[in-house]
Amino acid sequence: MFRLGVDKIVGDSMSPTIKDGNYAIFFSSKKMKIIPNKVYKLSHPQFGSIIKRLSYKDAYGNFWFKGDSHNSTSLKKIGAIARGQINGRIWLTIDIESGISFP
Amino acid sequence: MLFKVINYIDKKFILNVSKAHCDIPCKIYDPIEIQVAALTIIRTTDLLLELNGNETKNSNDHAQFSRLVAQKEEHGIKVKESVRVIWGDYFKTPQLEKFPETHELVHKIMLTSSKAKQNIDREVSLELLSLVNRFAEIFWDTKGVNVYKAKCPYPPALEVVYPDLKES
Repeated sequence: MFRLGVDKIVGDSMSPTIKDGNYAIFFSSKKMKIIPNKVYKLSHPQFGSIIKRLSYKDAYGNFWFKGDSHNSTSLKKIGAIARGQINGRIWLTIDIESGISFP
Repeated sequence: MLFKVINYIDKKFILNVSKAHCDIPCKIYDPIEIQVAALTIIRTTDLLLELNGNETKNSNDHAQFSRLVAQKEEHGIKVKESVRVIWGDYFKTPQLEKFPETHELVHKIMLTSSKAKQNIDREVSLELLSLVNRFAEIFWDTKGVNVYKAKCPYPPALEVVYPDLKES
């Protein structure tokens, strides 16, 4: 099932690509491809609902994510993410000043 | 325009939040928590030494002893953790070039904090405060903020480096 949603972004770990207070429109579907360098919405057991950029997929089928800011929680701290924890891909973001952009 | 529309919807219906999670709130660094933790170690050491002087100890004294040791331990860990965050996340090449002593100083703080946790030794705790004050001096200098030294207005009433924020 195709799903479209909008979330408010809180935090600066995806800065400068996505800033604190931006809105992110995401989509998800069963057939959604998980592509490195794209930004996804994840359900993390410790951090809750977070957005991060996919770095790579390991040999065991787990996904590893990181933020765009150097202050972001590190890839190791985020840990391995299973496919089932990926809730959507960020399609576009909306900033009060610069408008729409595609992360 | 689109932002305003979504913002209006957000205010009316409250949209879900996704966190762009950082290790700590970005750019918020302040060595005061390290200095307060070091002062707490000195204060708990003083209280432990006072307790040590009592010849006859009742169960309350034993309970107090345990609580003080636990607090000293906790604040020793806090010193190490908070220094690690500022050193690891804030200090970059320009700051390290200006203060090449930083790595050695941080290492000394780690060792001295461990020593202050392991022993009830006032001299070691004072050395820790001195190192932490130097760390604060360096930190505020890299921020372009002048510092001054003043006795903290509570026990153990020792000299602490404070940022002079009115001047900056």
